[in-house]
Amino acid sequence: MTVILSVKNIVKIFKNGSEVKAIDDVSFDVNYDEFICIIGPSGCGKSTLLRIIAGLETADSGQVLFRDQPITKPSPKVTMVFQTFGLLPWKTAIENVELPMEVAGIEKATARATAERYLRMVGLSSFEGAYPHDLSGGMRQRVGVARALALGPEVLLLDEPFSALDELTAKSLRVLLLQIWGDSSLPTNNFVMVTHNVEEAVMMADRIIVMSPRPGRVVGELKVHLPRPRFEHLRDPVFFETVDKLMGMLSSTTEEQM
Amino acid sequence: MRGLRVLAAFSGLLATYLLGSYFIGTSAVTYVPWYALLSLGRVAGVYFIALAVGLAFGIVAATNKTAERVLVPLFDIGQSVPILGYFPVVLTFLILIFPHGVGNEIGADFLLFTAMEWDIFFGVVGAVKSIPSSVEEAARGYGFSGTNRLRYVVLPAVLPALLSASVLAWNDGWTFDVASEFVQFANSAGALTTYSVTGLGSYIELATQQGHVAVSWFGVLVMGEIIFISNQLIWHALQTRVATHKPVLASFIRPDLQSPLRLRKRFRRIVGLRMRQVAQTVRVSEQISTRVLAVFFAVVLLAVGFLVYARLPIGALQGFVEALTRSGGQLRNVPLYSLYTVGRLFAAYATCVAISLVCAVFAVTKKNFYRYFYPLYDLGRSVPYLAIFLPLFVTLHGSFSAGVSQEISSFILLMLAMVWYLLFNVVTAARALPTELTEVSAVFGVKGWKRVTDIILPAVLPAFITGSLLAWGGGWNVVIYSEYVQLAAPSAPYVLPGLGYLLDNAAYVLGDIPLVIFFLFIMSGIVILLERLVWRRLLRRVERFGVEFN
Repeated sequence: MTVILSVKNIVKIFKNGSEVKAIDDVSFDVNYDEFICIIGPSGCGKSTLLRIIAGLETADSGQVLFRDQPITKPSPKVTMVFQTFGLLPWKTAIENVELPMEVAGIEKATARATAERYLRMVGLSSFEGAYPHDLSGGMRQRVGVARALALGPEVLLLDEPFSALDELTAKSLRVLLLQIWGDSSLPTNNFVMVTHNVEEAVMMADRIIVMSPRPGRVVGELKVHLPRPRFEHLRDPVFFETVDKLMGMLSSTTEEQM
Repeated sequence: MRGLRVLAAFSGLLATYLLGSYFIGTSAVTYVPWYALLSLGRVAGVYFIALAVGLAFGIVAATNKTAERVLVPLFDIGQSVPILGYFPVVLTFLILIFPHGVGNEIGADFLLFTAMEWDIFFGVVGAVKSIPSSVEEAARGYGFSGTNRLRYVVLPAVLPALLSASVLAWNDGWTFDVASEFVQFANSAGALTTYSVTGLGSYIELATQQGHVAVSWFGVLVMGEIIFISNQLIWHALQTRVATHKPVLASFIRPDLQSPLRLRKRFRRIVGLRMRQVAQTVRVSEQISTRVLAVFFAVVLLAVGFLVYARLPIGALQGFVEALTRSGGQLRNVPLYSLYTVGRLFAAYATCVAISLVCAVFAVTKKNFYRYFYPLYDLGRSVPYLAIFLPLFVTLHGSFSAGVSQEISSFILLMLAMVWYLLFNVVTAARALPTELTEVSAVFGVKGWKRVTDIILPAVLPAFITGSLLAWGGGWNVVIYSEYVQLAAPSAPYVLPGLGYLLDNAAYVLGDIPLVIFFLFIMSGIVILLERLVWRRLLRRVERFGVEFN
């Protein structure tokens, strides 16, 4: 197994008058073709960790290696899907998807064709000219996914991508994301998703990293031995066992607070 | 801490006074504290009247549909017409019916009132209307009504907006203090007429008249200090207190605590940066044709009122027609002079746009920007620009020709009247740029010029348009002032060709009220036309994006 992304001893301290350790010595690897979920209660620094991996924030010590090269700034190889979509309200769906390609200097016609292809893939081919304002939350996040995939990144980071959506919409988007992840014709095979939803983590991940709050630490790791496609196995005892086990790990992290 | 600031404020004033008496002579500054107190009393007194009227009418207009239909258009007309445009008419009228001194005082108070009232009224209406329906329903569910509803729901909800409107009203009041306290013109025979009431404003103007420019600058400094100190000691303190004991509604109203955007149907001054409200106001502006009619009727009403007052309906009507034909020379100039005035406004506006857009970019890209911006903004906002105009003109006239000096002074005056609206709106919007969008630009490598054109500028566009509306409103208000300067006789008035000059000339020199009303009508027409052709279209386009921040 090749390690594609390696998080090594990350420490992040927030200085806001007093110093608060947000992330304390977090390490884990992401193997090729793996779907990783990071789960933890609020305040465990999981979103900050994701931003450090994306190159949006810098760690106070430790580093993130992508294909053995340290990540110091955002790169087109590692892109992100945002919690509240992060679409530019003044650009249409297709213009939003084209933006990263424009920046990368890809020719207009090619960018348009690629954007059309990805929008079709997320089921939005007839909404290319719509502004985000006119799209439902689920549709907006589909645009967000298409945009993140447009440059063919190797790692896709997802920051609680379904938490701003209703449960039914979230369900269909989970299926879509698993399809994309499983699609070997796409270059994007490595997903790292932050969530606080236990069932969601079990349904999607190969491996779950469990974090504790204040300071954010890795308190455990859980492999999910549920066969894929997962949505056919959501009634299996293994699913419920895994959910229970994960719940147990999570509640032990928050015990002292209760 | 607070005691320290009060102490600092008063020692600052004392130091200014002592320095003033040392450099420009004790006799010139002896009565300045008294004048300052008089002006302070005038501005404060009128403020409280405006507050009471605004609160009462605002709450009624926001809660009663019939009252809204009557009051909103009425206040709307009031603030549509540039204050200094109709001031001559009102002043002439007041001086006719009241004994001399009283007419002057009422005129001054009236001008201050019109400078302050609209902000407060529309601020209140906007705040009451933006009380969330869930809160209204909860209040009804618990059986709140009458006084209880007013006390526990409406007033707390209105408070933040009322405070930000008050800051604006207070500053606007001080700005127009000069114009309200001193009016001087010469008739065609060269006889000088002066209407003045005692105060800091008339002190500044009178000193300029008498050629003591240093004294007028001293007056401007004192006035600026008073504005700055009252902003710091009163308004900021109140705003902090309201912000800290946040009512439940604070999260809904918080944005407009710091924002000078107000819900105004006429200039679409909206509360907060929320685009939904822009959309709403755009829809309201659909009724613009109704409003044109309303303005027209108001003008007709004014004219009729004047005719009735003159008790010579038919003769005066003939006089109106005669006046228009008689002043053919004046009328022939209208198109070109209107263009001059608009051009003057545009030049200042373009400069303000450049400044504010550069600041918007800095606000997003430079971390430390706010630390320098807000103190500077506070300081700049305290400059009583109308008071600066005359001393500036006289000072410049020392080294330049009259025309050039007046043009430069007018430009600076207009810039100071316009720039703060734009700057504040645009910078606040840049600051409100969601972190997620900043992260999006970082993740996808949007930087440099592309970041400016694709992220920053579109993000501040709605605030920019509203700011522009406000800026033009402010500009129209003062451009009239800058186009006509009458220093002490026997000098002829210094004039810049423009609508403001035509207006002042018709009012003061010719004493031709029908002509004044005609020019006012033209001016309001241009204001409405510009808004319709430019701002409304832009707002429509922005509405299409449905930008929603906060």
